[in-house]
Amino acid sequence: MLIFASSDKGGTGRSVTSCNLAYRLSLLGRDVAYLDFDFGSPTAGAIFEIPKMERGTPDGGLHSYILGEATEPARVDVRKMTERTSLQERPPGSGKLTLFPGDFGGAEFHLTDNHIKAAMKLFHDVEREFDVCIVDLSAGRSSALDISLNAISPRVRKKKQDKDKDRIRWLLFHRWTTQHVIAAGGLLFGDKGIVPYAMEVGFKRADFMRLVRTVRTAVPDTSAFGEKTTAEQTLWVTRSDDHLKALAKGRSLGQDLLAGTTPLEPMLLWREQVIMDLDVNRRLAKPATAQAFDKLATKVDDDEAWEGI
Amino acid sequence: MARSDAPLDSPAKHPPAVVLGVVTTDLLNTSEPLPLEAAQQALKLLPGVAADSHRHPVEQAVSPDLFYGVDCRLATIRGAQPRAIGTVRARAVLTAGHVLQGSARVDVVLDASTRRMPWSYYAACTGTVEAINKADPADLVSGFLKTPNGSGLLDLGGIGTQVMALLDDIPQVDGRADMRTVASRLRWAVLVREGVDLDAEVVAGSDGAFQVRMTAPSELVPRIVAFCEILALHQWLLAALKNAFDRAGRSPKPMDELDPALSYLGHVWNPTAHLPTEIAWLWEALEHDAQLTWEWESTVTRVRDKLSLLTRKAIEGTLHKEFL
Repeated sequence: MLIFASSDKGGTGRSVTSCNLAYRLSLLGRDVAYLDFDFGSPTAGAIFEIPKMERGTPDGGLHSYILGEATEPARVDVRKMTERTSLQERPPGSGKLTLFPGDFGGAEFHLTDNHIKAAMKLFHDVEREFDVCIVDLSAGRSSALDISLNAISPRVRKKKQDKDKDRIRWLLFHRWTTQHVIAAGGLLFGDKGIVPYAMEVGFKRADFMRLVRTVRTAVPDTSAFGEKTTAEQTLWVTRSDDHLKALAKGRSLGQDLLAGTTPLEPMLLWREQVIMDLDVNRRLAKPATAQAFDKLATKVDDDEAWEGI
Repeated sequence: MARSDAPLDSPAKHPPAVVLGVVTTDLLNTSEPLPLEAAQQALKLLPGVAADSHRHPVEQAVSPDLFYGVDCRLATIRGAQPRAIGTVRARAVLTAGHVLQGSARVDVVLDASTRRMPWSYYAACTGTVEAINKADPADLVSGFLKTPNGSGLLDLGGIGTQVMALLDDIPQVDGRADMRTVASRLRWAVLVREGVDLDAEVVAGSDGAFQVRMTAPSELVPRIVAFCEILALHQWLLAALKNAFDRAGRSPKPMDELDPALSYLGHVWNPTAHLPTEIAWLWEALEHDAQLTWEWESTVTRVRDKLSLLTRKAIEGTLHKEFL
């Protein structure tokens, strides 16, 4: 299965949520590959706490691979290379977790047929080895996104078996604020958005929309005001939330498209990292955060649950 | 056009100081193994040259040698990385219609010339690269084995993968292998010494894959290639079967992991099948230390036992439902 992680703007928590999704899927027993396609600023190395890879690899990362400069992309076993001791253990029943890092000092590039072919080959290779491959795209409409859409278009994937077995998911991450909801709607449906481009490369609109789901990130509740909230604050939060729901629905980003919601997590405000159950047990992270990542992983993994969203 | 002062004698006159090779192994991406005739057809990678093949005891087809031009650096541990130019020899090997290998190797000639020659000079001697800077042969062997890849370095693994990819687009291959597999890489290097007895050391590299370091006369190289391909094949088989067993332990559909693993790979193990006699002792020594065949047999038994248990459970489940 291929999961693409896109977002309207930077700072939505796309990468940190995707890394946590990858981690949770590996706990479910899946062999997971994480492909850092955020060519301008690869960050997965930092989130998985892999030294010397905080901003991508110096040699032969995905950027070089797509450009044809490396014959195969660099890869790291996250559990072997992470500095975080608790993450090094592979719990019984869990699968592999492998990072394909971006390049240090990589940049965006033009879209060419060769880049698309390289991406197709890459997806083909990782799908043969892993159950789930998460492709973390840069924010907005980027060449990484365009290459990906071309590489999964029905025109080129027709050799794959029957359509129902071709498992692709497209996640759109956005924060739960007015600006972000508007921007996410624009990125998905706008003139230069994802959906029109998907149709340009050969998808039927309905077929592509079947792949797309949204994830609302860092959604606050009244506790964000502090321990004691006033009645006015509670009312205001409810009203704002309702307003956002209406706004999202009006922009076709309503419940029917929603794959999951992650709560505002103080731990992640300081440091983008993997939230382990251990962090919850130590009472550092909110139980709701771990649950949200877990729920998202379970949903993504289960075809029926995914269809039923 | 060659310049008048260029040494135009054939590079073949210079014997190789070192031979380097990489064997990449993975499952051919197809749901059913190719019958031998289809395999022969698929591996006819050069027009007019038939694939080599044998039917017994394990079906195997070997493509003709293909050559890839390179102009690259050779990895070293101590010295500067010499620049080497020439062609790499590569072939595809398909065993039991399903396990595909890309095997690439190159003879490295030292001290033949100190500057880049016209391409025709290198093209005249296929399968050889010439280093145009000084290098110590033993250092090249160590550097090659200890440096898996790096930009600008000789990439035999990449060339092997390229040969394997030639089979992805042919009509006989449906792209629907039912099994998750990991490609493996076996690196090997020979320090060429004429008139000595073969000396070999097999060690596990950092990624768990075997590496073979040898000192041998050049006439043994073709047999060494065969040995390394056999070793790579069997190490991959063992890893692939264990991976399937491991995955079955955590999969919601364990049968879907075990079933293809057993039907694809269960019958392929036969390390001595095409093993050249001159080098058979090396396999025996390896068996003595690592007991690969014992490990294979016990893994097959585990897979079969698990399949029988799952089958019994499934039957009991059905019967139980009928009685209710």
